[in-house]
Amino acid sequence: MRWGRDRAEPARSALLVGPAVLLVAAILYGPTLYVGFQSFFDWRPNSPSPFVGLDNYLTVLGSDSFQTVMWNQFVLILGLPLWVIVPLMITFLLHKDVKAPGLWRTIYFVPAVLSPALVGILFRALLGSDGVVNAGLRKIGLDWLALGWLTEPHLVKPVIIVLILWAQVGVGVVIFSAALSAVPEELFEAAELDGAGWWTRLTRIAVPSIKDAIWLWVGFQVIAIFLFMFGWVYVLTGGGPGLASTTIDFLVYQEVFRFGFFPTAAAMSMLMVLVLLALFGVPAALVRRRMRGTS
Amino acid sequence: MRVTLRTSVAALLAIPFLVPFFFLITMSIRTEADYRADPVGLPTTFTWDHLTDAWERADLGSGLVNSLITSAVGVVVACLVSMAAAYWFSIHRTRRADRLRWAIVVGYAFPAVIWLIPLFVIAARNGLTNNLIVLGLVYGASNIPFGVYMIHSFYRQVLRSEIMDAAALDGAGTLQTFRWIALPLARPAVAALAALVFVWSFGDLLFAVTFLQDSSKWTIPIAAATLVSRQTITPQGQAAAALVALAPSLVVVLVAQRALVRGFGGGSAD
Repeated sequence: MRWGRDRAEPARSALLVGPAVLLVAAILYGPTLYVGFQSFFDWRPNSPSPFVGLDNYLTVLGSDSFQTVMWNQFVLILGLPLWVIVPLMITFLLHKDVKAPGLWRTIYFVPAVLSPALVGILFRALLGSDGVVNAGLRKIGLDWLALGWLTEPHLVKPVIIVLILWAQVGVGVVIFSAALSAVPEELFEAAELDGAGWWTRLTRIAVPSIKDAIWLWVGFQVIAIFLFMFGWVYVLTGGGPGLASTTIDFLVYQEVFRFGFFPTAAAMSMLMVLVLLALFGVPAALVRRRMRGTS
Repeated sequence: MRVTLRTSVAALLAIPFLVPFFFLITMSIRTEADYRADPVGLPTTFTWDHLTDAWERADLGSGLVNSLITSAVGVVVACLVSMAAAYWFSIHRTRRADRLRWAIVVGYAFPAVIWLIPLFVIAARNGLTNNLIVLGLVYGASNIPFGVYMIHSFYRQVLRSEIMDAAALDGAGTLQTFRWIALPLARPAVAALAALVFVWSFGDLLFAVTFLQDSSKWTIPIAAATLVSRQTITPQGQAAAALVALAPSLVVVLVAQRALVRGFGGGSAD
């Protein structure tokens, strides 16, 4: 590889890769390190911030709101099997012997293009106490089912799980379909000739052959549920009722922009980074270890 | 027989994806009396009242302009910067360059709320809040990790070393090769990236509520979210606000459907 080896090389490199490095450092890495630093101080923007050691972390870990939010996160992650299995089944359904698979895939995909905030605005309009869903239920005599979908503490989390499914199914189907289209068709045909039913073909051939795509999807979903829930929560429920639907990222936001508690927000941010490292680092370390063990 | 059965199942599954949009539209365009009489059926009346009311109360017109400005800046920054960096990484395949690329791509998983707070503090100190261009820059920058990942993996497939060697033989320098070969080659991947960054920026709420306090600078999602959360609004008013907020993204889906599907598939062909 010898192109462009001359004196102007460093300048060209700076021109091509410099903006990306600078922007990512200025917007992602710099601020994150700054928050990590401030999490050990009684951080007050615009005035002196004394060093407090681990106090912020102890305050956060001991607070009721943090524990409630951790419980919320746990309940929300229970939606994971649903978010994986439903797109998987749909992908398999559209794989073969179906008319206009592209049309169906597009229809399932439409909600994926709307951001969580936009999906939230949509369902806030439909699921309100006088919204069309409840109005319809009352109309057909199911008054007892006309519930406060977004205002009942026990209902909000399951409702959010189902709405995430609605919004994300299409992306899962697109990712799985791309992976499945790379699997040789003969595998399925041979299995069918051997009398394998659709369930066997799904679980024994389709799932193992697109295992990587499935794990990628699981990873996406877990990260999203721990770290990127703000848009959903802000519009749909505002974290409520009480703290019943508050997630960790929404809590951090509230801590700063509603209550002005910068130090605890910084500590929570760092706890989120730890979650992130655990989610990525542990599986990566396991894989590396297993690879070393087998080689 | 089997085809009919499977197609029917696929069609049945499509219903829950279409029904919310159906209700959104019918609620927005029928009179209140009509809605009261039969909320779920087909509308028998037509009125613009809810839509014009939502448009005026939430000032969705200026919201739309603000959203378009920030999203456009985001798209331009993300595409240009990612393309240049992805090109550089595909001609520099050293270990150090790989590490640098990895460090950029990993930024994708950084939860926005973490770096947004200090960024807001710094921006506020320098009078850079309530500025649509600054917000657009943040949109663009936050999409660079994904953009570099996507265009780099695209280049890895199409930018073979024979092409590069041929260009070098013809006397083209690094920048000329970028301009005349790498840029045109990347068009499908960049289209996908542009469509994705647009819908993300357009639908974003977190960055927007953080950086824009002044309601004359609000983007569509903030304006619409504020309106639907008001106590005084009717369900039909909420639906109308939601419809206006959703419409631009839905248009993008119709226009750039293929590009978006490709983008969500991580750049792989559909």
